[in-house]
Amino acid sequence: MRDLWLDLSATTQDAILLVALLLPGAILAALLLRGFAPGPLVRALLWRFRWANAVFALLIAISVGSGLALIAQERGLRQGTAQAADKFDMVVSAPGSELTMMLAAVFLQATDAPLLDGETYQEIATHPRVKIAAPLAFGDSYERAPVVGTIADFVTYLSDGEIEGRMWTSTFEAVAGANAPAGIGDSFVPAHGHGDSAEEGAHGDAFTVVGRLPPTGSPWDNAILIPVEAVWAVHGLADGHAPDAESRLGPPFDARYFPGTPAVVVRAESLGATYALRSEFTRDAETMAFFPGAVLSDLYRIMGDVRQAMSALTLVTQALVAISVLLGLFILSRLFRRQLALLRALGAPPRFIMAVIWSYAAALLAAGTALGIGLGYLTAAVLSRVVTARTDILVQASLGWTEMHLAAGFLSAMLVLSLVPAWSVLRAPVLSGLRS
Amino acid sequence: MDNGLSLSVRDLTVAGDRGRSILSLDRLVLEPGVALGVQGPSGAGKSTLIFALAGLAASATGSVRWGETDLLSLSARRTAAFRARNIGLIFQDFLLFDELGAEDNASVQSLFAPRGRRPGLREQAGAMLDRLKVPKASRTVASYSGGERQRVSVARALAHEPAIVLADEPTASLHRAAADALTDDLLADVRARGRTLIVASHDERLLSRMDRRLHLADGTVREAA
Ligand SMILES: Nc1ncnc2c1ncn2[C@@H]1O[C@H](COP(=O)(O)OP(=O)(O)OP(=O)(O)O)[C@@H](O)[C@H]1O
Ligand SMILES: [Mg+2]
Repeated sequence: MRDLWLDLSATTQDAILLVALLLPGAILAALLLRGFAPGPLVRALLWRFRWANAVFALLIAISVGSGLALIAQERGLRQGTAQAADKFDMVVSAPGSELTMMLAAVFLQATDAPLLDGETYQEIATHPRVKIAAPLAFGDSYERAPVVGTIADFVTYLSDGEIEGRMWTSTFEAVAGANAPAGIGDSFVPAHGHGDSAEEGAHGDAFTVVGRLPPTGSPWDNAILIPVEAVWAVHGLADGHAPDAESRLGPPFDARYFPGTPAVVVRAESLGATYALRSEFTRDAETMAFFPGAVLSDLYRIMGDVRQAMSALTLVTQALVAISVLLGLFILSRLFRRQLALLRALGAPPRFIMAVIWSYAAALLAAGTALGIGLGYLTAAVLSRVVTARTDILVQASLGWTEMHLAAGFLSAMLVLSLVPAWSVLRAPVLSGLRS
Repeated sequence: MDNGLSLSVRDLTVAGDRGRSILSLDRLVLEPGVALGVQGPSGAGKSTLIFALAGLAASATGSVRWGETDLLSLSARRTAAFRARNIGLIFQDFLLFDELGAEDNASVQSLFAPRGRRPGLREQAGAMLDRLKVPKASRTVASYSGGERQRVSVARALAHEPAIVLADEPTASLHRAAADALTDDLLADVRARGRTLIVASHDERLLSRMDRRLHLADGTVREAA
């Protein structure tokens, strides 16, 4: 049995689970409605109190929708950040906070980090199992976009070799990210620093954009990349090469003329090599090597508690909504107690009365839940756009099976609970209903 | 032709909310097919009697025997089934579903009747509306006149061919001409089919056409003419 289940595809499992969650509601409907045709009366009740009913369904929709959107958003955010860190196998930096260094190197969040010196960089770059060792130079910006110095190989790697235009070939050329505020052919002068404190035009030299990266779904889309030598040069530092090789761009660098880098992004020749390199470059007081993916996982694990708290809150909200829904049903069923008393006077069996109230409740709940799924879908899409626009981390939150299961579970539970108000109308005396 | 059911009431009492007796009736016997008028001042207990005879008064004690069935000894579900099969109820204020049309209202019992009986019920409801000259428009009954609405409710009471018709002031909401026309139509059907009819009413024109009369005052029988 268990093997059979495990043999099924994930989609099949999810679909079966969805059906199983909806089953209690369906069974209840079959038992309650068997042999009856309450449709016209239910439609009459729905129409008679259409405004109250619409508000009711909308309230259900909003609560279901916001719950679903929140859960989907959280998952989308995790996937987006993981995807953004995908190209960053390993980062080596001076010892400190892995999280801070990851935010700086992968998500381009400005930070003042101590620098690695030329010897250390040289050691990493010339290691036989290292394919790319990219120094990063931060600190400048142009129109709020970070200007990052690095090497051509890394840019090629980031773009999967699909640069529009061309790679830089001289010091004052640049390659812009897909959403950067400068396009091919534009010239710009980087400002020192970031944001409002940036000093406009502090560096007099203008760069020309010669290439553009394809979208990567990471903050690098908003960045402008320039040769690391150029960053050093405009800050009046040595440019990494001996005076007799001044026009050179990219590695090898000369350790004696290497001004230092806060972080080196390392791509190893294999996964195994990555692990070996991490232990090799994890040295107390000297260097720290870490996998951004692992740091993110740690982060998600810590956030897991938050997520659970959030899920619990969502559940509490849903429970509150459920209670309000039940109360609302009690009140609404009071509104048609005269009609129900009439039906009983005409000889309708108790189960038929329950079937009418329950179908009415089911119609509101099903409409509310369906509307809620639509609303959740929209909310998740809008939130994703906003987050993507603000962070450049491509977040694609969409409702998946988890959300469908939650919605189905909510609906089924509510359908079962609706039996309570449906049953309670049977306890009201017929006569007072008729006389009211 | 359907046959009415005989009625035999013994020691019927109905208590109000605070236990006060609002109706007590030691003995009432009716032959099948008899038309009985119940009269009395307001608050005398006429409505209470009608509902008790339909098995709708929860606090009723004693026995209400229709044919062989003692309605007060049945469970709620079986009392309902008895009503669905044998009793047609007509109310002073019609009690229709305003959102439904005339035919849907007249055949509302088909919604919970056994599947096999549904088409027949709908057919009979339609025929009854024709006989009572109710316009079978597609609009809802909310826009019908008082006389038309009461005819729809009479059609609903008769559509399932009940042996017993219980009416609580069926003409009280109608003006004179409409009341007389309704009385004619109701009696024509009841007489033709031999149904047992019990009508609570203040309407002397209606009461004068009944076979027997029962006079209620303060919840007890004062005089049976
Ligand atoms: N649930 C109840 N509890 C207490 N008293 C009640 C209850 N229902 C009815 N009564 C009282 O019982 C009496 C009989 O009521 P009923 O409606 O049968 O009178 P009626 O003869 O039909 O009057 P009308 O001609 O005004 O319709 C009234 O005084 C009424 O107030
Ligand atoms: Mg009355």
